[in-house]
Amino acid sequence: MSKCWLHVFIAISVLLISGCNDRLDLEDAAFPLLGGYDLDEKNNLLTYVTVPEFSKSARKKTQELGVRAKTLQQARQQSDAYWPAVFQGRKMLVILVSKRLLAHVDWFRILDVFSRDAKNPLTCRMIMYDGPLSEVIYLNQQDQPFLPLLLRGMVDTKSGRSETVKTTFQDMHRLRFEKGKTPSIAEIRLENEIKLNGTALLDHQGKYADSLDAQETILLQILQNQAKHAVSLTLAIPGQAKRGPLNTDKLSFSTNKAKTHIKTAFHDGHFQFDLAVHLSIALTERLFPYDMHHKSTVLEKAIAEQLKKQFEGLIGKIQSHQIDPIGLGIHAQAFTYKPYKKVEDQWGRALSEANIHLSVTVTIEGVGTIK
Amino acid sequence: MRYSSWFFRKKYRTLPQTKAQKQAHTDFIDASLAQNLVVLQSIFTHTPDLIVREFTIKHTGEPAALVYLMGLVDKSSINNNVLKPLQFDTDITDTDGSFRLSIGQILRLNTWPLVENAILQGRSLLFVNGRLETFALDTQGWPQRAIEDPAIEASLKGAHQGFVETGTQNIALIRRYISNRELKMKELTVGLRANSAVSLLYLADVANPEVLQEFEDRIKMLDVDTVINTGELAEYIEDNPYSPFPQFILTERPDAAASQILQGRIVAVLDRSPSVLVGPVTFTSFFQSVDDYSTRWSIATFIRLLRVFAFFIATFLPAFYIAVISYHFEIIPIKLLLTIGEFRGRVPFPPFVEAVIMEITLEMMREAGVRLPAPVGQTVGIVGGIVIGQAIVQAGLINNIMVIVVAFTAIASFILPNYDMVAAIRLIRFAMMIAAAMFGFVGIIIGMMTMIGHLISLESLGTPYTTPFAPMRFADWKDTFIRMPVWKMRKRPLSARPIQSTRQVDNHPEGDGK
Repeated sequence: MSKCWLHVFIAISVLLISGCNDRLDLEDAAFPLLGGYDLDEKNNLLTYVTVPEFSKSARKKTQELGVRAKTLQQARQQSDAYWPAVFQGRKMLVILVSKRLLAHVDWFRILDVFSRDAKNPLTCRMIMYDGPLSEVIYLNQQDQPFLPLLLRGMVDTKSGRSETVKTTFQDMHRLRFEKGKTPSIAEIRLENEIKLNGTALLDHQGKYADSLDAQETILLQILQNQAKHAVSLTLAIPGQAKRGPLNTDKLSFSTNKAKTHIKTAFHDGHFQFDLAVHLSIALTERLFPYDMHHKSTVLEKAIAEQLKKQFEGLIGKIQSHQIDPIGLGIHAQAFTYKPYKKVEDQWGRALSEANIHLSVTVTIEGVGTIK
Repeated sequence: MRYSSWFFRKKYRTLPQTKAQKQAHTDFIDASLAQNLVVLQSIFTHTPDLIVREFTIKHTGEPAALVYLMGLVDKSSINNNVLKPLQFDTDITDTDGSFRLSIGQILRLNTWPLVENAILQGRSLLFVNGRLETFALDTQGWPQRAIEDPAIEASLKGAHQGFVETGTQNIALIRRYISNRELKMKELTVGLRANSAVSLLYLADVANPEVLQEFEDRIKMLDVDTVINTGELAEYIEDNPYSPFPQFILTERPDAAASQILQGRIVAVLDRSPSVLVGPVTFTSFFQSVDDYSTRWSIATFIRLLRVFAFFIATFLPAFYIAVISYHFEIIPIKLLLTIGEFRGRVPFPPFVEAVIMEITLEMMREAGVRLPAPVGQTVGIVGGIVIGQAIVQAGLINNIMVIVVAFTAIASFILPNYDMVAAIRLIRFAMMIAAAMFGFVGIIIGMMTMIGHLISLESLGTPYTTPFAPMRFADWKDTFIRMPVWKMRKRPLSARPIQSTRQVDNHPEGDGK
């Protein structure tokens, strides 16, 4: 019997010694859903957070706060001082960075705390904003869901249609060490309303290089073989009669299948990539009359030609900035290891000197329910 | 002086005995009817319901007396089958000295302890002057209830007969299902003061003799005043008395009991108790109900899996809620998190207190509903519904999500077919809640591992409790959390340790396809 009491005593003391110490009830925690990072005119780090407000007396659903601090941990301490709750970065949904911050090499290092503290999430979406962040953070639109949810929803749905990229913190962290590919993140702008602009391309050091609009982003993802779901493109077919401003030469289609075969070779000191893009498409919109029954192969060729032009424009953009968002470097590493190994630290420049051949074939599989 | 009686209280369980009783307990009965009646009166003092009817047997002219306890006998039987022929008929003596009475069983007793016992059992005793024996007539007839639908273990397709308070009738109910000469019985008695008959029913060529011996030994070892109910008996003979988990099935369904006997298990029928004891059982037997075997196997499997799911919900859901709110709120989807945060912001208590308040309210309501008569019980339901459903949330004491959690837990715990298992889960739920409040998910995992460790160490009559999972018996998986078609179950479950395993040949239905 005394043994039984001993067990009870041990159990109680174990519970009392170690229990409850890291308990933090949901309503006692201030967990920012959005973290914004910017630089002011004197290049001081500005940190913004958006925190949901649970108190019944609060008029707004969220609270925004911006502080100046050297590091994020410091910012956390400073922000803590403004809340009747404990600051926890555990439910961050969106990381917003300004273009100004992205102009600096290795800006990503300031986010170190996100990967070092295991409680922080790795799936927050990286988004770039073109302008000072305070404009967006304090916007407080009444007729929209609040900002973190709005931004996350935008990125998640649009990346499902390949119109932007869903780059999470973890993807960014991985691409920092990947020499054969440069990161690209979603980009928003403010035109009265917040608008998803497409994609921002970064170079190997994480610096901002260029922006892509929605259609270019789709093309990029077709080249990456990542446009898995049906994507929708609109093209102008030259040579079709224009009658007035409405009946134009445009047509739109959605892809049933988009496949890119990449052949990699190394000739005469240059890398050579043969990109063979094949698209099976279904027309969704055609604003000009056309005899699909007899001349569909002609139209297929015309579409392929137009697409090829757009692809080439995209590749030209990439090569001129010496970046590689497609990830051709990974192919080079896989198929031409030795020459790649020599230039992997300047892969961007090597790619800009590479020969990239492109061929596009299009098969029209459907024209819709009318002629 | 009077205080001394506190210190010198009788510590030993003895029946008070007068001198006459001492003599009576050792002596054989006397030839003289008058002397016998005196002894009888000395044994049964202050027993106004003892009837002594003296008369003369018409055929032989002997003075005789019929002794019985009023209320324990069937009056019409005594009047028509005993008193009437003895007093009026002229030819009723047999050649061996007994009487030709239209009574099923007539015992001849010659010692006082047997006589005393027989009277207390409801037999009527015929004393005849000049004989050294009495006739114990089987005229028992006590207040009885009609056979009704089982109340706790209701079933949709099973039989609508439940056990009653008479052991012999319960045995008859089981025998109706198993009309086989191998259905044997062991008669035991339990209790010193009011001994009750316990009958162990088993199939002699199927049930394991070792298990039977163990069952019998445990009951025989009992030295108690009396055992009123089967639940008490179970508590006396359990393998692990400190466990919250039931180690015997108490059932009030004859069809369930019969099916257990046919699987090779042993059923103990305790006289005066409306439920019987089944052993050895396994953890999975508590998830099975009679209806499972009369619905199609795919549906029965689904329902079984639903019960397993409900078991986990009923055990862990409130603990999960506490752990999530107090420690791990990052795993909640963001939209739900915002809703919960809004609700929680109004509530003054920490989640653990909140959960305990609600769970205890629920338990009180359930208990009140059980104890109260049906019309009042409804009122409890309505009041409880208002309190839990609305008022408590509007008053800002408890948040809506907690109400959903409690309601869901309650529904989940009512799905399980066995009341004892539900009670065990209910208790464990509170332990899990404490563990979750202390350590979050880590606490729940610790609690779960402790529970599983305890379960696999349990035994029922020396048979592992969690078989066929630990120890692993794949052949038995056909009838556990899934139910395969009945024609697939060719063998009896190993968990019952039967000595004859095959119960059917290949009965795979061939249909018209062949």
